[in-house]
Amino acid sequence: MGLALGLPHRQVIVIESDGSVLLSLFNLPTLGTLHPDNLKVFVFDNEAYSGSRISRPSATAAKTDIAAIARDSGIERAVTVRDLGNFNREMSSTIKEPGLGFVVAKVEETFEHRNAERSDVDLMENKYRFVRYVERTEGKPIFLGPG
Amino acid sequence: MEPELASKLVNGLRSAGINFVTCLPETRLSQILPLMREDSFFQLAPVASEAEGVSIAAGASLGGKQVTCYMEGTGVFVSTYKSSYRGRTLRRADASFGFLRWQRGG
Repeated sequence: MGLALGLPHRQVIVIESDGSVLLSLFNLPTLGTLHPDNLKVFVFDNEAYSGSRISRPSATAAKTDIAAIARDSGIERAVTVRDLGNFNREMSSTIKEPGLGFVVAKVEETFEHRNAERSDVDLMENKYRFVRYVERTEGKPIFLGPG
Repeated sequence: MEPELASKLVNGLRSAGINFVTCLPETRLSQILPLMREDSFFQLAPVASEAEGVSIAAGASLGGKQVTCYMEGTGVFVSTYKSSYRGRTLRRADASFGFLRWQRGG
């Protein structure tokens, strides 16, 4: 959200999960209030806390509807999709059309991440990679270094 | 807060180049908000939690904004988790990432 507000001429895409949104529900009214038109949010909702060893249902496995909370928080265009065809349609229109977008994609829980190799990029390195990309594409310095 | 002090505070932020402020109002410093709202130099982002105030400021900082987070003192504790995480990813030598809060003496 901060990046979208800071760079209003760029399109910013956020990839989220049900656990992450549930942890920070206060983001939704703020998003509905600030309403950055260049932000597109995709929430992949597997209805589970799926860790390296555990799998426990999240609130969305019961009655919680993230898209409904988003709509009632002022994010008018918040939808839930439950199959690939609808996801492709919503993803395409959300990205192409102007305005704040919010798509909740119901997905099956998988365990592929348990076999994924650990990244060798640490957080600081990741930050510099990202900011140098923003600097290059924006044509402005952001990190100047000491002195 | 005396209007003169509020004005000094806002001018100080401006002089420091702060152009993006996340805010969750409290009692003692909130007189700075109308001043910043009237000044197009500042981009204000009202938030519902101090934790997201830190996160949003962090994102704006990565986009080149000079940021500060305005919150009440207890908000610093609310934002601890996000601050520690953002601190690891956002540490930078050349720019400010400020917290603006009232410290009651005693």
